[in-house]
Amino acid sequence: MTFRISAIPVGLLIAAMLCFIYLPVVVLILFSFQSGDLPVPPIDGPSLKWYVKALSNDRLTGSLINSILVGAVSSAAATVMGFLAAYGLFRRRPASADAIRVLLISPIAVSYLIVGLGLMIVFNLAGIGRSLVAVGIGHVVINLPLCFAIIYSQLGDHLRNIDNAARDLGAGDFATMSRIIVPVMLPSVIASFCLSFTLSWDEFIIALLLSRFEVTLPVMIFELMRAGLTPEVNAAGTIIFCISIITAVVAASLTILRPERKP
Amino acid sequence: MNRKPVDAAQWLAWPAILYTLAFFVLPLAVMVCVSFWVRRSSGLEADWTIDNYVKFFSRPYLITALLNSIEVTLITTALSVVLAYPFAYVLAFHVSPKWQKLVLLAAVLPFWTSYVVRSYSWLLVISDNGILNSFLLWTGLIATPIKIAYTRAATVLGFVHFFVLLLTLTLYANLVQISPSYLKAAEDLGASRWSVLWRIILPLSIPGIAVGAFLTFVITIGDYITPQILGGNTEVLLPQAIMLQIVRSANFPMASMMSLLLMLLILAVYGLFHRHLKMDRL
Amino acid sequence: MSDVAVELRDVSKNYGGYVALDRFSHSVRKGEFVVLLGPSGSGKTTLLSILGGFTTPSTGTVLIGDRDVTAMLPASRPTATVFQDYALFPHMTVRDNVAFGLAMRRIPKPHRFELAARALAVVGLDGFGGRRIHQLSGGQRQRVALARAIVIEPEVLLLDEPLGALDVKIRRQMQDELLHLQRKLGSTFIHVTHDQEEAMSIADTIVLLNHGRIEDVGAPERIYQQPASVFAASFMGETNLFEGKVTESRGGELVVETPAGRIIARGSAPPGAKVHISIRPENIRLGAQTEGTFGLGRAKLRDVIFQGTHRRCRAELEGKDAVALLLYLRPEAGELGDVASDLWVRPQDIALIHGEPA
Repeated sequence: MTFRISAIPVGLLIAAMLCFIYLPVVVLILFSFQSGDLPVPPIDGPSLKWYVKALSNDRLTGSLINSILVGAVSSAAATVMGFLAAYGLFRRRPASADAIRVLLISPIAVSYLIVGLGLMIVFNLAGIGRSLVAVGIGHVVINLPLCFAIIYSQLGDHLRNIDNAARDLGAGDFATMSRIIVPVMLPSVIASFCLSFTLSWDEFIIALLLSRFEVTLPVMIFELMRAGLTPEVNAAGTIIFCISIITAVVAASLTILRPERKP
Repeated sequence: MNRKPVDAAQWLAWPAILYTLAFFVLPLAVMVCVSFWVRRSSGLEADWTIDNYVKFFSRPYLITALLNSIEVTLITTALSVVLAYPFAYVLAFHVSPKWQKLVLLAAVLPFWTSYVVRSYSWLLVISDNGILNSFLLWTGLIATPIKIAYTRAATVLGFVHFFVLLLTLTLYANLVQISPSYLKAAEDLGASRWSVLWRIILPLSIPGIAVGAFLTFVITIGDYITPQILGGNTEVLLPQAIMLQIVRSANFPMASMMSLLLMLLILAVYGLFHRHLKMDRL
Repeated sequence: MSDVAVELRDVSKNYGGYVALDRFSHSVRKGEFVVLLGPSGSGKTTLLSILGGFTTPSTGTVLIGDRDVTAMLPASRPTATVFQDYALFPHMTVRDNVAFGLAMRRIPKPHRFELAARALAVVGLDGFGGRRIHQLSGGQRQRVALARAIVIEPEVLLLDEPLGALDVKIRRQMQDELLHLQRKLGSTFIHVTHDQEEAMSIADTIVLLNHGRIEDVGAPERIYQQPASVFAASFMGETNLFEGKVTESRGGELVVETPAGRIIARGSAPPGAKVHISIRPENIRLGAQTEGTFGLGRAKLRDVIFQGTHRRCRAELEGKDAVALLLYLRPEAGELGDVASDLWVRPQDIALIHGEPA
């Protein structure tokens, strides 16, 4: 572009926005090292005591594992069902294809609170207790539309020819799907899984409504907060932040290294 | 007529269809029914009455919750768009490509703090003895701490922070795909930077803004945690009112009714905007 | 064992109210190189898709090698298709792509790779086995797609506008190579294109389609010189077309009254019949008539444009102002100003077309 605004006002705007965006993050991390009892100024010398407290909180570390389990299982289910539905509709377009698409995508338009509430009432009426499994079920409801939409949007004419080519050369349904379609679609399948995991990991209200004693991480943080605003929450929050970033970096580097792998 | 060869593909969509029907459509249908029931001390009675609906509109505090929700959501949506658009615009057109990626990455990083944790962090920032007040007191700009925490402003702040992040990304993605040919043509015909922005870029980004605004609206109006942590009890929004019905009296009928109201609100807004929202292009 | 490789009987395909193919019937001999030629929407791609098994016809029967394959899946048919965008599997090497069909037939690995290497050599890509698809040029991908199809030794090879995405020079080269390949393998090739020059270069038989129906079938030269319809005449190349009425019919020759004057054509039709006359621009010559040629009259030449192999120009026949002829003159014809010249044409270059245009 030949008509760029000069660097200085641009730089200032960007700096200002980034300051605003990072303010709470900085406060979070800074006061996790607080040696005093309150996560507010003045900050007394750096101390790791709150990290020790957080990591020795069994319920906290337990909720971390719960979050990973719920996230992994629900994301896997959403990704698999979403992929099959997208591929199925793509291969054979039944007359009801448009209606099916609307049905599968509709949960996106509904607030998580309503999804959670609906499930809670149904489970209650059916006598099914609240549990992590219930939370997982709820998370699949909110993630399935996304997986379906993402994968469906990537199925184009070029893929149709590849699908036809595989069948032309003698591959049956399963061989075509496993040897050709899934490998070619792997980037969007992985992206769907990662997005679902991220949303599940961070999800609060459905987890609150549908869990009982065993909780996920966001609900645990909420519990901690209700007990009192101490730097332990900061420490827990910072730990979550670091885990998330490390996971993202690992996932990103895996996707960059992928093309070199032998088929 | 020739027989069509059998293809397993027709069965592939069924798991997703059945799942959605069982765990999404069914609960919604149940909620509609339950909204006509009543919670009594003896238990849940299937009375089939519109009592709950009447009750809602005759209780001022519930109507206030609804109106508050609408107000807060509109303010949040407007502020978020107004803040995010210039940022996205500058990134898309006035920063060199390699810096774009870097700044975006930096802007996205805070996403990885948990949503609950972020609201909590803002509480720390704005509370009476938090970092903001401490700084202002230290510089002498104010004499006593400004009360921001546990007010509507705090709730809006928490929301806007999240949505500026989200909207910057979506608006940037939208702006970047505007063909550079349009801009070159406008430039070639003598348009200034401002004209290009006002007459070409802005009109072309309206669908993107509409989608972003709609998303912001829908997520905000149904959000429980941000107003709960930051807003305190001075003001109750609709999601909090719904949760109170559950937590205090397990009043499923009332909660269902209010949830349906929330959904109708969202559908109404979708109806208003659906011309701009091409959901089938998802 | 009959001589017929492919037979289509009354094959139709409708999409709702839209007719893509209308009662198409044709036979292809073994070892023939057939080109399905036509503009977009003519039904040629639909036809190929039906042959490959990707589309089921609404009515009609498809036989390949005397077997009824109408309801058969692509995997079971003795055909292989080369797709327009090549459809190479991006996550596999060239060798794995080519060997895929063999893998589906459970041929053991070492033998598979040997056959794949041989197929690659045949298409001129010796040693390319280890490369990845994204490293290849358009022409190379084309050849890999070919190798992948021929390695399974199909009875019929189907090609869907395979040369469309290539540069002109490479396209001509590939046309030659395709022809050589087909002669070498001896299998039946059915090739779809909208490019009439391409069709004429490689086909044994051209099937010209328009609006789902056959306009003309035959050897390239015959269709070009003696087209069966007005559409065929103009699709195969530029031509001078005259609508006319038969006034006399005498022993194999017809006298036709056209806006360009009286034209004598070979053929038979009852007097009073409506016909068309087609004369290709390169067949109209300048200068004095000689014995046995047919004179078209005097004309002034205008708008002469040099086009390499010929000079293109318009000629207005004296006394017939409404008629402008198109001429391709020999390059050495030189500059021609407002001087009027005599135009003539050989009788065999006057083509008679029966009936009304479609």
